[in-house]
Amino acid sequence: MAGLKQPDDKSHFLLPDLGEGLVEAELISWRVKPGDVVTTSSILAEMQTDKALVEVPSPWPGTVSELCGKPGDIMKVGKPLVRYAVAGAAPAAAAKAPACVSASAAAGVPDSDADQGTVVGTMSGTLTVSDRFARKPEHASAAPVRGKALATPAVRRIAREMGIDINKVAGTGHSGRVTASDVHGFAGGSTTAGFAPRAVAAPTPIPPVDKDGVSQRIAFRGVRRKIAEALDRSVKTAVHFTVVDEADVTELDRKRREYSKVVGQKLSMMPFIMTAICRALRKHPSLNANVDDANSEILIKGVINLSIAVDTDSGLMVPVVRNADQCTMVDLANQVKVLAGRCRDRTISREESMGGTFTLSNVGSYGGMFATPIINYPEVGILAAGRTKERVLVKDGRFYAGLVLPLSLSCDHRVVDGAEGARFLSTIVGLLEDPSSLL
Amino acid sequence: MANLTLVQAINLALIQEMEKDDRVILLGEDVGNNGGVFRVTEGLQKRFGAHRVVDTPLAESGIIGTSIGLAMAGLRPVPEIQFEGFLGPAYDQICSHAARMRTRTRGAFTVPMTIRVPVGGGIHAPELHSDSPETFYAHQPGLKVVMPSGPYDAKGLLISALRDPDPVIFFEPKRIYRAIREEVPEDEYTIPLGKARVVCEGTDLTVVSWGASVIQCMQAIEASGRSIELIDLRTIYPMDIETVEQSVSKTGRCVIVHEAPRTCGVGSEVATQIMEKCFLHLEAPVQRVTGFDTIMPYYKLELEYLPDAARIQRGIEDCLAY
Amino acid sequence: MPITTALTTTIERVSILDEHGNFDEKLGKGLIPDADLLKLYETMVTCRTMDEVAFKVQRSGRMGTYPQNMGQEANSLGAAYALNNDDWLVTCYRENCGLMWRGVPIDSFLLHWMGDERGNALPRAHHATPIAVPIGTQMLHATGLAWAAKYRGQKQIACTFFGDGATSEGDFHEACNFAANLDIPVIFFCQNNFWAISVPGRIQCSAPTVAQRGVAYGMPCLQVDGNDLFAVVYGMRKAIDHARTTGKPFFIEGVTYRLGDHTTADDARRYRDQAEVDAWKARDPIIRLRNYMTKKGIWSDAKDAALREAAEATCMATIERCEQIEHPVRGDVFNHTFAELPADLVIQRETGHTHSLGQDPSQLPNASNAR
Repeated sequence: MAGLKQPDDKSHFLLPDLGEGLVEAELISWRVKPGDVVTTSSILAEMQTDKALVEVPSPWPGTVSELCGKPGDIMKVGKPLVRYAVAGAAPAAAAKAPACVSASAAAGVPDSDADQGTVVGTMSGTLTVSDRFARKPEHASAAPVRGKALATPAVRRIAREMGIDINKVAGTGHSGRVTASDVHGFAGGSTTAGFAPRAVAAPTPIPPVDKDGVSQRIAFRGVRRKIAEALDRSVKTAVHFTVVDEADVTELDRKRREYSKVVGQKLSMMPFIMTAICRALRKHPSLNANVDDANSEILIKGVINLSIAVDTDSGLMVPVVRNADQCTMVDLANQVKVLAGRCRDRTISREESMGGTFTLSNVGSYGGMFATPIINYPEVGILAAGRTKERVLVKDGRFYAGLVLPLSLSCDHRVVDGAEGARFLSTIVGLLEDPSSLL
Repeated sequence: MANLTLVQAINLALIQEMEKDDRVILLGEDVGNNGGVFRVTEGLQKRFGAHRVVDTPLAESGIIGTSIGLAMAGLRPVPEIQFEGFLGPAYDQICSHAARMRTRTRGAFTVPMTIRVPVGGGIHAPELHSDSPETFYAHQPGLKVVMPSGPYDAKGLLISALRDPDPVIFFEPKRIYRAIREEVPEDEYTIPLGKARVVCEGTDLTVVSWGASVIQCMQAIEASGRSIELIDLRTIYPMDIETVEQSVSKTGRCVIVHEAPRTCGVGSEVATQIMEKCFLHLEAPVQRVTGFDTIMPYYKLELEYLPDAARIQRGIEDCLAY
Repeated sequence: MPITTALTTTIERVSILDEHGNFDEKLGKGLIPDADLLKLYETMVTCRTMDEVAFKVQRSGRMGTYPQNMGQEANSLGAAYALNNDDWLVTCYRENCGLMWRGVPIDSFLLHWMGDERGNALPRAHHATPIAVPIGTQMLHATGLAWAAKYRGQKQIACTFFGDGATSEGDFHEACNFAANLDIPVIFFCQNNFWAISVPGRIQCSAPTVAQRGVAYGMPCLQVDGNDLFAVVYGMRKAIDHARTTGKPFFIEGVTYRLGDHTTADDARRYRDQAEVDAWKARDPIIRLRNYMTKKGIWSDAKDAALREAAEATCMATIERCEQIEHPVRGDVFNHTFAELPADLVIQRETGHTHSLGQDPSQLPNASNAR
C-alpha cells in the first residue's frame, strides 16, 4: 500500500506497509507507553512480518496517548497503531490540570486550634508518622519476586511437615505449581510408613496431561505461523518431486581439512557444497529460477543468490547469500555464519531473506540421510544435504572406508523436468566427488 | 502548598467544587450557620449563601430523601449525616431509592449524590457516635463507598465523588479530622474512586486497611521492624483488589485491619478475594485484626475495643511466624 | 392570667357535583370547558377499562400483581388537568388516570407490573416519576424536585400523591416538614380511599380529617370530594395558585374510595362489607360525570358504548404490544447498576459466574473444562 496517507493532524499513526505488499503484521512488543514523549528516532514497537522482526519508528515527534493493540495482536496495515496527544487537547490523566484557585480559598480554610470544632466528644493530640510513609509519586509496583514456589496450602503443609523448603522444589503441576508428589519426590522416595525403601531411580516426570492427553498448549503465532503459511503456499503451488543420490566425499573431506589449515579457519562441508551448487546452476540454468505465478512467468535468474536454511528456536529461517557464485569458500563460510547468527538473535532484516534463486538445507547436522525438502517458493529447486557417514565403499572392485554425503533434490516439476533434475543432481555429485574441479 | 488537616482539606475541596459547579448544594443539620459540628463546612454558607448551604430540619430520612429528589432533578446535592450512628433512619432512602433509581428506571432517572458522614471511634463520644457501618453500604449494589485515611487523599477522593454520576457514601474518619496534617496541593486534583494506594512497599507481609486504622497500621509496621507492604484501600466499593492481589502474591501473607466488628466486616470480603486470587501464593492464613463482635463500648472502654498498634503488631507477627 | 387561644383553624370541604347530580353553578360554572370535559371523561373510561382488562390478564397468568385504580380516577386526573405539563407528578401507584392525561403511555404501567423495568424508563418530558412501591417514601423526592426548581429560579412545582396509609409513615412527616419549613412549593395530595390493604383509615388517622395533617406544618389545607372531578380541579387550582405565588406547600385531601381490592393478590371481601362498597359504587366518579354530561346534552348512551368499545380495543392492543416486547437480556441485570460498571461487575456479567474459578478458567488444571 504505497503512499499511505497519514492524518494531517498527526493525531494517530496508521500502520504502513513494512515490506512488499504487506497487509498485516503481528505486534510482538511495545517500546513506548502512553504519556511517553517520542522523536523520529524513537522506536514505537517491534512487529513480526514474514520472517523478519521489524522495528517501527515514530513518524513524527509527539506524545503517545494511546496504544492501539497488545502484544500478540495482528495489526492491519492502514489501521491506527498508536495515537498521539494532539496540541491543545488535555494530556493523559497523569498530568495535573492547574486550576485558578483564588488565594482567598486558602485563607478561608479554618485553622481554629482554639475551637475544638466538635460539639460531642474530644479530639486529642496530633499523630505523626515516619518519613517511611511519606507520599511518593505513584509508579508501577516492583516486579514480582522470583524464586517463590506456587503451591496450595495443603501441599505447603506437607512440605512443612517434611521439613522441606518448598521454594527449592521444582513444580510440575498446572502452571508450574508444586504438587504433593513433587515434594515427596524431592525428599527422595516414599515416606509412607510400612513400605521398605526401594532403590529405584527417580522416574522421569511425565508431564501432566488433560483429558485429551494435551500437556501443553502453544499459541500458533509469530514466526512459526509465518513459516507455516509459506510452506503451505509452496506445497500447494509448486509440484514437488524429489530425486536422491549419494556423493563420495572422502577426497573432498581431505581437501576440506587441508584448505582449512591453509586459510587458518575451520571450514565445514557447507561452502564446498554451496560452490558445487553454484557451478551446477550455471550448467543447468533452469533450476536457478523463480516462478511468477501471478503473471504466469518463469524468471530464469542470471544472479545466483543461495538461500541457506537456518534453524532457530523460533523456527526455520532462510537468509540469502547474494552472488554466491562470486564468493570464495571463506566468504561463503563467513556469510553463512553471520547470517545464521542474525537469524538466531532476530536481527535479520526482511531484505536479507528475499531474492533467493535456490536453497540449500543442511539437515545433516541434525542427523538423517535422505529427505523430501519443501521448495522455498517462489524458487524452483532445493537441495537437502544429509549427514555424512563413514561407509564401506567399492571402487574398481576394491573396498575402502569412505565418507558418503546423502543428497536430496526437490524441484518444481512445472518448471524442471524429472530428467533435468536428475542431471543437475548428478552434476553436483560429480563436482563433489572431484574436488579439484571445485577449487 | 499548605499543610492541611482533614477538615481543612475537605473544606477546600467543597469550596473549589462549589465554585466550579453551581449544581453542588450542601444540606444537613447544623452545616450552614454553625459550619458543621466538626466545622468541616465552616464559612461555606457565608461564602455561597443560605440557598446553597442549607440547615435542614432534624430528619435524616428527610435529608437523604430530599437530596434524592434534588439529584433526580439534575443537581449535585451533598447531604451530611452528622454521625454514622444516625444513618439508620436514612437507610431506607439510601438502599431502596438512591441505590436503585438508575437501574429501576433504566437510566431515565439517576442520583448523583455524595453523602458525607463522619465515621469511627476514638473521640470519647457518647454512644452511636463511634461506629463503622461501611459494610452495610458496601453490600448494597448501586452504591459506592469511600473512606480516605488522610487529607491529601480526602481532597482528591471527595472531588471525584462529587463528580461521580452515581451515589457515593463518603466516610470521614473523625478521629483524624485534626490529628494529622499533610501537604495538600491548592490546585485541583482528583484521585479516582476504586484505586487503592500502596503506602509503603515491603516483601514479607501485606497489611490492608482503610480510614483512621491506616495510621495504627503504620505505627505497628514501624514497631515490627520488618519489611511490610501497606495498602490503603481508599475505596471500599468498587474495591481495587488487583493491587491487593499483586501485593499478596508477592509477600504470601496478609493482615487486614478495620475498626468495624469482625463478623461480615469488609475484611471478610477482602480475605475471600485474596484466597481466591492468591491461593497458590499464600504461606499463612489471611488474618483480620478488627473490632470485636460486640457493641462499640462507651468511651471508658473505647481503646480496649479499637484495634491499636499493639494488637495489629501482634497480628503481623503471628502471621509472619506461621 | 387568662388562657388565650394560640390557634383556631377550620378545614373547608369542597363539593360541586355530588352523587345525585346536583351541580353548584357558582363554584362550577366555567371551571372545565365542555371540550375538555369530554376528553377528561374519555381518559377516565380508558383508565377504568384498563383496570378491568389488566385484572383479567393478571388472573390468566399473563401479568404479575396489579393494583387497580378503580373509583379513584378523578383525584389524579383533576390534578394533572389543573397542573402545567412541566409540573412534577410524583405518584405512588393509583394515579394511572392522571399519568395518562399527562401523556405517559399505558405500556409504561403495564410493563412495570409485568416485571419489566423498561416500564419505568419515562422520558423526562413527562415530568413524572416512576411508580413508587415503598409506601410513603416518594413525597421526599417531590420535595427535592420542587426544591431544585426553586433553586434554579424556575416556576415548576411538584404535586405528590399518597394514600391515607402513607400518612402514618415517618417520611411523610419529614417531607411535609421540609417543604413547610424550607418554603418548597409542593402540593401534598392525599388520596384518602379509606383502606390500606385491610386496615381501615381510622387506624392510620383517627382525626376527623386527613386534611388537617397539614395544619401541623402551617400549611393551608383543603378537603375535596375526590369523586367529584370539578371539586378536585377547584381545589387543585387553589393549591397551585398558592404554591406558585408563595412558593410554599399546600395540603389537599381528596376523599374517595378504593372500589377494587388492594391488588390482584388481595381479596377485600375478607375484611369489608359489601354494603359499604355498594354505597361507594353509587358515588363512582365516572357514573357521576356521565350523568352530568348526558343531562347537559353533550353525551349519550350510544357515544358511551362506542367509547367503551374503543377503550377496550386500545387496552387489548396495549396488552398485546406489551406481551410481544422482546425479553430483556441478562446484561440488563447489570448494565444500569452504575453509569460505568466496575471491573468486578463486568466480569460477573461476561462470565455469568460469581465463583472465582468460573470467572477465570485459566486457574483450572484442565483448561479444556473451561466453559
